[in-house]
Amino acid sequence: MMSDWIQGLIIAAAVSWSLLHLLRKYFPQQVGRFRAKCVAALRAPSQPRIVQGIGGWMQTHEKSDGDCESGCGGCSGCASNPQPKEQHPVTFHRRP
Amino acid sequence: MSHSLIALVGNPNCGKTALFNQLTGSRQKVANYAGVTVERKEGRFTAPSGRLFKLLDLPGAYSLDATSPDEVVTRDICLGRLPGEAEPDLIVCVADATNLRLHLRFVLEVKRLGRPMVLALNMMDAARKRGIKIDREELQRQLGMDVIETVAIKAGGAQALVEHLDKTVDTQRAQPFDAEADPHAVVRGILAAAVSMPSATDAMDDRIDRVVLHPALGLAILAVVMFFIFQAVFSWAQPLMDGIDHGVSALGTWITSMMPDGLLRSLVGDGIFAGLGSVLVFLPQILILFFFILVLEESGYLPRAAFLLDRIMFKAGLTGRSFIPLLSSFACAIPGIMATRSIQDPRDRLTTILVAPLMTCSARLPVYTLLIAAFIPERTVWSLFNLQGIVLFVLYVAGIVSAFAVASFIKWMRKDKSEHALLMELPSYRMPSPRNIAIGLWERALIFLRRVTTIILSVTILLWFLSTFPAPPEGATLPAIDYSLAGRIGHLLQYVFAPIGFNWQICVALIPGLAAREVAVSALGTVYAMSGSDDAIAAQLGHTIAAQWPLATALSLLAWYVFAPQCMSTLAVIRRETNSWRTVATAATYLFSLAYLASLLTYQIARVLT
Repeated sequence: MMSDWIQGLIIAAAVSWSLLHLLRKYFPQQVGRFRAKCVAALRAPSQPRIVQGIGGWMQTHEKSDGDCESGCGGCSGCASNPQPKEQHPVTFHRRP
Repeated sequence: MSHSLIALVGNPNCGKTALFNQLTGSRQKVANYAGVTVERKEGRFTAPSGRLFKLLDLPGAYSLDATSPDEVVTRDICLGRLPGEAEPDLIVCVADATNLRLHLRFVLEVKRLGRPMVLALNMMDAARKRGIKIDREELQRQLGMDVIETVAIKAGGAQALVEHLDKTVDTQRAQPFDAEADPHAVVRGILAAAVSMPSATDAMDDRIDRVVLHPALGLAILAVVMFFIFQAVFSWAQPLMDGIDHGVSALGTWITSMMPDGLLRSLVGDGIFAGLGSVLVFLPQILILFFFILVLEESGYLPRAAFLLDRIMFKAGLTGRSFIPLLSSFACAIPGIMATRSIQDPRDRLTTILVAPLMTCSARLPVYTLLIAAFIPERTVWSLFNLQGIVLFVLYVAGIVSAFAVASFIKWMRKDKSEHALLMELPSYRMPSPRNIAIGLWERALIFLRRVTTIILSVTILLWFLSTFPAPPEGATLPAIDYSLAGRIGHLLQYVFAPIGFNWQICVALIPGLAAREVAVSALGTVYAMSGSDDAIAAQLGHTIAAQWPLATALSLLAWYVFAPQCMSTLAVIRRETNSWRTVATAATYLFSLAYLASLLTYQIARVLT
């Protein structure tokens, strides 16, 4: 029989994963900035070696879900085309 | 390890992306019309000698004098002006061997840059079939560059190009070009010397075009084709949908029966299986719809449809160039909005971006079919047509008509009287390749399943959590979900949505539905599973809502989904493509207002009539 606390642990993990997944998908820049701050804090020289190691691991395992920042998952372009983002804003010019 | 950078350039629809896929093993989207590639794609391949090549697939361009954002990318990379992008070591200019009169002009323009280049003479199989004879040696001599024959859509069709690049990439030198010469005259001279064509166009294409481009008959054929597609979506999918439905239900029952009572069982049964299962059943319908879209794309019919609709689109404030972006929006508004980069006029581009979300994307299909199957009887009309298919067709038409109406309004607002003539290449008709169709369907299925197992799964889990906590107080009489956070939010929102007939369960489903439209279906599945005690009933979402909702509510929700911008990703892409939050706010406000108004009218009228 699975005890209540194991069930609770699995549910907490599933909910945390879901929340993190959605935040990464829809707020990639904010999550990236927060992550960078966390990495900097964890890797500070004053931290114990093990904490610095966790910071290093976080830095190397950086991953974005929607490289085009659209979050659509509607094409394979994001994964196969990890290029610098280009913007093509609509621009208006006064007619001569 | 160092690599040589090669750029694939050429006129639109000459087979650059097919060649790119052939060389790199990639599966970038290809179709038989111009404007499929609107941004640079990058890939790598290794030649037999072990030499590494980095390959850039660039958007098609008619000239380096760029007139649209996609052509700017090509021009800047060719000129080495794109920041962070090295100048290519070699330019492979791809030309359609059946249409050299047009394509050689761009070849000459690229040659004028003075960069090392090679000409890939693509579609040689089609050229031979039409009796076009090309003297390759003479063409090489006339152009002053190496000319390699390729058939990008056939396995091994680019072998000669790979071998040539492998041997000569370091020795390619730019050839001098008389910058003063008239390119049209030069092309005529080259064609006279090296090419013999029995006729300027394909006789079979001309015969088909006489029928499908007929001003009246052509439009009738287009309407019949679209009508047939939506009939097929409903008629053919049912056995497969039933199979998936039973399979998911049986698997859910089996797994939950082995689990002890508790929260985890509720998460798996009421959350994951009830939620994801209710979306997964729509996979066959999505694949049937895309089967027809892929066949039409491959055949070369779609640009003809753009040509036929140009007059109507112009009257509505759009141009024929908007057709391909709007058509792409039937799959998903995001690639559709990105495809507007091929529209030169910024006003036309902005109008197309604003109306693209009104095209019925595939994510709306699960919502539509759930409601249609639940509320519209499965009846044959005039002994031929499926009533449910007719309703689906009407919903798609409603999206198109509303897009035209909004575009007309924008045209009226901007008091624009300017005319932009549609200049569009009509490609040769081609028999769709079963392999390409199969790959396209496979990829579409993977995209759908990826969405189900990532975004829809995560939203479903969060919704289950919000529908479960906090637990009901002592002595509670209502279902537990009514006391949960999701239930309270739903009841609160109901004050706003009651005039349009939405109950609190629909209000709850609308919020996660902002992540992706089809999430609304999984959310309804979860909410009703959490509300009911009998899992078997909850698994049959269609039956549950048919029993609990009045017809007016279902029609109102259908009207809501025709207009509502229930997709944050679409709004994010509008922001990126227009670089303006104001445009995003305009799009969201007008779409939500239209959705509310349409639902209000639908609900109130339906309530009176039923």
